[in-house]
Amino acid sequence: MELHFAPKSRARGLAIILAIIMALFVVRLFYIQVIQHQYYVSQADSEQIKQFTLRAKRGEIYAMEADKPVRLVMNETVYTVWVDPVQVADKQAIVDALNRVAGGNTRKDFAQYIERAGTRYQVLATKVTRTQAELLKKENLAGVGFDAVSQRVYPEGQLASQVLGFVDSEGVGKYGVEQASNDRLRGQDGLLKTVTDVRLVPLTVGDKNIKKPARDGDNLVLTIDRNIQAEAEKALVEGMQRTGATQLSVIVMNPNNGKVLAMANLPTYDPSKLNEVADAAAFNNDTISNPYEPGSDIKTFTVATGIDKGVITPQSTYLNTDYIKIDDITVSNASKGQTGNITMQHALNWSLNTGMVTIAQRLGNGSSITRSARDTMYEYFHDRLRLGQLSGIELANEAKGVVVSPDEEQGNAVRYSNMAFGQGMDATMLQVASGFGALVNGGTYYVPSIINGTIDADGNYHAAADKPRYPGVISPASSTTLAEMVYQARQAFYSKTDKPGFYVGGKTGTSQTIKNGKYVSTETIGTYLGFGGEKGASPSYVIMVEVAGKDMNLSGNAHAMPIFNEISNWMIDYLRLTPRE
Amino acid sequence: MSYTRTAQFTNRRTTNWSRNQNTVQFVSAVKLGPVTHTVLVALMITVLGLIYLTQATRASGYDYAASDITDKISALTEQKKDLEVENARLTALQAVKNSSVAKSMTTPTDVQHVTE
Repeated sequence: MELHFAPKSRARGLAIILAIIMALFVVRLFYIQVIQHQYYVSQADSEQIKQFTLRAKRGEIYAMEADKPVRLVMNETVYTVWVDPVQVADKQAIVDALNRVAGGNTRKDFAQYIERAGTRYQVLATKVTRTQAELLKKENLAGVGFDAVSQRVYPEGQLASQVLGFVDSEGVGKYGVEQASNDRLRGQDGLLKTVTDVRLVPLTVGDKNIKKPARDGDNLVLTIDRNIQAEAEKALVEGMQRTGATQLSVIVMNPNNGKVLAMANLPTYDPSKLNEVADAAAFNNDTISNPYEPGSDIKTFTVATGIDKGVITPQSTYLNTDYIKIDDITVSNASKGQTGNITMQHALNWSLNTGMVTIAQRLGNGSSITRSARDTMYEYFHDRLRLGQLSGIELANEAKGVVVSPDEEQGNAVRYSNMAFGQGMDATMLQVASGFGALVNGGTYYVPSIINGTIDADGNYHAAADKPRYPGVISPASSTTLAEMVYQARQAFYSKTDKPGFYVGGKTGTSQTIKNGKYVSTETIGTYLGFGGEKGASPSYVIMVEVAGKDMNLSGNAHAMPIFNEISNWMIDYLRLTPRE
Repeated sequence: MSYTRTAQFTNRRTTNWSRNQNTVQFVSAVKLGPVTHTVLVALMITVLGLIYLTQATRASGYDYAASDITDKISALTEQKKDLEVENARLTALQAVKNSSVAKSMTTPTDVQHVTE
């Protein structure tokens, strides 16, 4: 089309101006749409596309009850009620509603925060339940908002709290299973990146929406049996009241698979009331975190080593004078008077240190604890029965303990003479109980475990893979002999404490403590290590008890054993063991 | 009298002949100019745009429905969790121990074990 304008006409001028304006539009649009394209796209995206974190649910923790999982730790959504003082229309209505609906959860003197100037966020109440929050929402209170918070709930209260641990305000597990299995429990947050409307409702328009679903944490099932744990804790509380001891611990294990059935300590704490814990030491699980000199309980390990190496039998004799000299030190018996030619069974019954040192000597040349004897003891104590080694149990803060190697300068004959009766070495209760389990179960060491399996999203239970086991730490025959010796040791003095018709054995331990680098007799730790089960069968349980107190003389038989007795007799009923003649 | 072809008929020889093809073609008497064509195209684009917007809005409508359902599912899931927590609390050992049923139980006076 050809336009004809008269020269210098107004129409021609107008056409030129319009053309210039159009050209400017074109240039400007080109600049905005082409050159500035990415900038405006990102501006639009930032307005229209919102990114949400899809929170993964932290896995729950279960215990066992016989063969059925029961919940110990759950999640609950609670709400923090806050107020924006700028938007408050009716202060009294807010005060009335909060007092009526969530009176027990409000902050102290919360009314004063409702109209506090210069702030847009004041917390009025915390840990408000969903039902309470819904009632408050119905009030349509201007300026009041709600933040949903997920928190751990403990239906069983403080049961097994030191095994469980807790979750801190950042959502990170601390102590116990919560810390050790934090990665498994926390899961993995997901992501939702989507176009939304002004109310943040996700819309499917656009081609940049991304949804990566959250992967919830694993629901872990512990090997802890709820009833055994409760009974163990009850026995500890009664033991504390009876003895006055200030620190008590107990561990109950199945020696035939290494599973921990109960693990408890006093003092303990309620994980739902962390703010009431005065001493952080209460968070520790002493059965795995506090190595100590096990004392006479270890005599069962020394006797087992001697039997397995063929240097003693229960009827082997030695001349007991209540004292025995090792290099420049003299070891004496705590129980004196059993002098003369006595059997090793007698030495174990009376917990005679001289008998254990004699076994250590017989592992060498018969008169001294030679390097060869020390190597043998180290092999059995450390390598086979894993004292002084991390067990690898799925709990946080496990301590290793110390068993001094003969390769070290400190690993001399004097050290090993002490180790023969459980001093001069540090081990945790878990290590001692696990090793003892191997000594009485036929000679297989089971790596201790606390995770029994998982529960999937549909509620189905899946057993965990078996942990490693090490058969042949001692021979089956040695194990049978050792178990019988431990049984006889208990029967010698305490036969009437057990239900008749069952096979219950045990060994007392009373350990001196070290003060300023020296052993003192003014403070002793009492322990009791034993097993129980049906006659003619592998033991069904191993129990170890420890009682301690600052400047207290606590002994294995008077203070620790009654706790063992109570749990052992209860276990016999609970496991429905059959009495036999 | 001379004979002239009308514009309405086109000799078959002037088109590429093929079998089963009409030998005549209709040519409308209505002539559409370039402006009309432009307007029509613009109208078609507008209609297509409206259809797109309708469909897009319709999809957004589903989004709101889906969002409502998701909210309901979340609320019900929360409710279920609350009930599970309550159930766990009610069946906790301490709760069972303190129940009226447990308190009314008595200790047997004599128990005899059968031995094998």
